[in-house]
Amino acid sequence: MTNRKRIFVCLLLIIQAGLIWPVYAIFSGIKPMILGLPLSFAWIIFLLLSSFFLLLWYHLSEPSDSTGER
Amino acid sequence: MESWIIILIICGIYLAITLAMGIIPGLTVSESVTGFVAGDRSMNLLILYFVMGASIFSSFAFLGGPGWAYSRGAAAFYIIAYGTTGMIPIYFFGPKVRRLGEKYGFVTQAEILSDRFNSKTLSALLAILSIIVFIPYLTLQMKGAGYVITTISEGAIPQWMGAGIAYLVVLMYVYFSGVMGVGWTNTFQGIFMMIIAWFLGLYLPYKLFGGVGEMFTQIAENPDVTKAMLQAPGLTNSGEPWNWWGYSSAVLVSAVGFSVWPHLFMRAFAADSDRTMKLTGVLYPTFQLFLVPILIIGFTAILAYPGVSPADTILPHVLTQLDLPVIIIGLVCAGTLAASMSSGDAILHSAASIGVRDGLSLFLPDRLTTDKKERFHIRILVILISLVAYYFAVISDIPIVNLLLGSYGGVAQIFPLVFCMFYWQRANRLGALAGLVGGIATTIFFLLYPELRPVPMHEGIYGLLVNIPLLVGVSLMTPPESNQRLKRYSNI
Repeated sequence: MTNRKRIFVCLLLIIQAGLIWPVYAIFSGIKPMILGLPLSFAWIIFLLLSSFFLLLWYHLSEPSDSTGER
Repeated sequence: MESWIIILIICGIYLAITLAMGIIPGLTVSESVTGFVAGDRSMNLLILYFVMGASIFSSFAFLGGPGWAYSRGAAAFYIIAYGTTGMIPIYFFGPKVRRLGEKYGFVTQAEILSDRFNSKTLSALLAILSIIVFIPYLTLQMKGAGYVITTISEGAIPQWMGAGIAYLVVLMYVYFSGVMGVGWTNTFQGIFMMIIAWFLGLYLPYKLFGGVGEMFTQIAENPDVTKAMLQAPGLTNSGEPWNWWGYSSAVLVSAVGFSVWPHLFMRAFAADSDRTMKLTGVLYPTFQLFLVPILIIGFTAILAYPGVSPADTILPHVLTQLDLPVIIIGLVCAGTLAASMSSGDAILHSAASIGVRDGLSLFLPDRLTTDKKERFHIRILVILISLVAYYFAVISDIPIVNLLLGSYGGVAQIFPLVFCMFYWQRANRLGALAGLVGGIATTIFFLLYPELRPVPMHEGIYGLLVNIPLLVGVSLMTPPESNQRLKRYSNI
């Protein structure tokens, strides 16, 4: 497994853990409000965006020999 | 002219445009089964992105999403949470599935799995499972469409006629154009839904409270609203605070099952390239983001319109209460129809394709000897499945919603097989069958007897806890599949 894959899997597991108990329990409250949204809502949106950028990074950093159209 | 007539005219124009968009692209696709089921493997990024996104955003998202936020508060974040990671697996297996499909002619999920695990029984099992979860799913979409048309016509058009008209349009373009009809209409309907959702999600809190932040502050400070409304994991169906077991396990099961829903999985066969497939996975969260305004619509109504029941009617209820221009109400209603139809078409098309390719082909192979015959049978099944779903939607009183609630647990049981297909060579026929049957049986058991669960987790988790050890254990105790077969899946 390459380092790139390892980093990807680790970050993915962190994001997944953040979506459920116990990590989400820490961020499940109402205050502080972030950009007008309760913390519990803002946290989920933050993780959604994190997961988007994580996969985007993984895709863009793919070595060129394994991409391309077959 | 009465305002509801104008609204109906807008919906009528919308349906006509959808029908045209659905039929025209079918004219260019070949007469083959691959053309009908997988669009000659020619879908580009734009279409595939919207096919995936709009298929997922059904009338559940448009009516149920605000309903959840309105009645269950933070529990609704679950809908965003499972989609956060749920589509990621498709980035990895999607391109492999696509290449194998191109090479060996697969067009459905059961075909590729039954080839890898060398089992026709598996194909039949998956066909049965797919159709059992698809019919209630389609029925609910029809009910949603019928409900919208009845509400806006102030009862002048009965539900049976509303659902009938909307789904006659769907039936026609699925019948003529197959998946390309689904593709183009979903692109159109997806863009339409997104605009409507963002508009309403920003406009309603602004109009009623002066802004999104102000709205949430007022909910948080209102003494009559329970704190659990904004604090995860929110409330249960009956209004009690939800527990973390239930919330977390529901997120996990839905995330696991998300990418292997047969109608989403089989779109990998329609992709025109690996790049398209990968980018669809990468970009999926941008579609998921559109649940944010959808949930805000529901939150807006908590203080503004308390006591609306059933909660799923909150969006139409809010629309009728506000002094919105008739055109806007008409467009929102068309948007709700779009949500219902863009899921209904994908499900209808997949159910019929799977029924013939994976079910009927095992029992009546003589009837499906040519592409033309096969396509004919798929079309017949498109009509039959529409009629069955229509029967459940407007005639029968059987509460099939419960079936749909259990379906995520059942579909999640396919995931271990898909994972092992590419990443664990040792997995074999008996292991796959034992895992799938054991997992589904356990899920159904705990769905029927929820009080027997040791902890209040989603029944699908118990299914997976039986499924995975059986898949691994039985595979290790029995001989592996032939090298030749395994090679196809490891070198792809």
